[in-house]
Amino acid sequence: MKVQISGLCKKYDGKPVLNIDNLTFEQGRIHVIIGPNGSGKSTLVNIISGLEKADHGTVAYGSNQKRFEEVRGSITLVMQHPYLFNTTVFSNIAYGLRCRGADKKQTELLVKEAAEKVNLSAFLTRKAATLSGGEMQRVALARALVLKPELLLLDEATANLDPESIGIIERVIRDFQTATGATVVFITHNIFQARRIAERVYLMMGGRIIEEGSKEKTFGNPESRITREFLRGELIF
Amino acid sequence: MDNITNGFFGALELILSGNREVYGIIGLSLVVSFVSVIISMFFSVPLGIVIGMNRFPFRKAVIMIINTLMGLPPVIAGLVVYLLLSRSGPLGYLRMLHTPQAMVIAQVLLVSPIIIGVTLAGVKDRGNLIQKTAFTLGANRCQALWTIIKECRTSIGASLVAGYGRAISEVGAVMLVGGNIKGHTRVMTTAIVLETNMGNFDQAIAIGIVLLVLFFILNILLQKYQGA
Ligand SMILES: Nc1ncnc2c1ncn2[C@@H]1O[C@H](COP(=O)(O)OP(=O)(O)O)[C@@H](O)[C@H]1O
Ligand SMILES: [Mg+2]
Repeated sequence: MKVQISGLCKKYDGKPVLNIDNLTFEQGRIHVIIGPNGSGKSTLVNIISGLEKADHGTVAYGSNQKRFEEVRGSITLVMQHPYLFNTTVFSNIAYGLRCRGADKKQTELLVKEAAEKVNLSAFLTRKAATLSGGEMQRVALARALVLKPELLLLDEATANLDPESIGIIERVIRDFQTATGATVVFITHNIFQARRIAERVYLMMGGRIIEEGSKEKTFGNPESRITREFLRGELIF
Repeated sequence: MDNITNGFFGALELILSGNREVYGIIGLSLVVSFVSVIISMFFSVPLGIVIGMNRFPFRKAVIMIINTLMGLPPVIAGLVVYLLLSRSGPLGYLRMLHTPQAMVIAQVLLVSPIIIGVTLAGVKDRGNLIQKTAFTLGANRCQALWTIIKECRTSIGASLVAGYGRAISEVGAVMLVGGNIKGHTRVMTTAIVLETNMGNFDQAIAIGIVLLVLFFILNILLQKYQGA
């Protein structure tokens, strides 16, 4: 699903934290947003995922420029610190399907399939609270992907995880994207990770997108001086 | 000493022989407090969730008032309901004073701040995160609310148990609005007061034992909830 953003502004307590004139996430690509802490990355995806309201501006979804309410069921967000429901892994992954009233057989099938993708088949009956951080995040990813979203948003979903989980999550996202043609927006702090999975890269700073382009261009030949400094790690944040 | 030992054995006999009056009193106590908690639950739990999760003007003041009301002296609740229901009061025409219904009203007043307050405290820190999570997975408002209730079930359960414990052990409110009428509005606490005053220690001790056992069960339940 394509996402077109225009004139988006957001202030917290009078302090502007987001100010984006025009930004388009094309259908069927992996977009990676990088940028220092507090630059507004989470605020941006929270607005796109309908969790927060912008003060001004619009987000239009799909090629027919639909409103959020019309596409709500096709968007999911995976957060950095996911909240897992106090129940089994199975029920966590099944949550969204049950909300949609999917039938039992279908749900079971899809949940098992999703759990297998994230290497958690053996964990289905475990209580979510007993999992490690990496396993929890894989559950969060599985319960988002099982809904077959057309727009998948991930907010630092691999920050502070073990390398094995990071590897699994990156692979699953890539496979999911190729298989379904979904649009992916992936926020990360990690420039190496951005290089691994991005097709397009966006650098955010002070609530603005200050550089955007293909991975090759952004990493190979960035336009702005700030981007070069950021990529060389010279910007302290 | 004779008083106590005699009273104690008399009490055991009353309990074990299934004394009608004693069990009637216990039954009424259990029912009045249970009905009060159930009625209160239907508005206090949602109210606790709403107050816990939303920002609004004077929120801190509202929470402070609720916390203060959690310790409201039962006689005050009794007095308020008494004044409302007395012959010359605004609701006097209902003729409800000195009925179990009046006792329920007073106890609802008493337990609601507890149910609201404990629910609120349990929901405050996690409610919004749960709601957001539910929303991002496609839940509608009702489903999200139900998810919050399920996720905070231990706090909500604890609030109900705490409310029940308070209702069943208070004297002031039920005494004032119920009137302690034999066979009609006499409950465990008011019966103990009366029988002790009249020197009928058998009955007082018998009911006291039951109340104590109940109190222990409730507290064990509460600790289980809070430990979970
Ligand atoms: N709920 C909030 N209330 C007040 N300020 C906030 C809130 N959420 C975010 N901010 C502020 O907005 C700015 C952008 O935050 P955020 O979008 O979380 O940045 P990032 O995800 O890039 O680290 C930060 O300065 C942060 O302190
Ligand atoms: Mg963030």
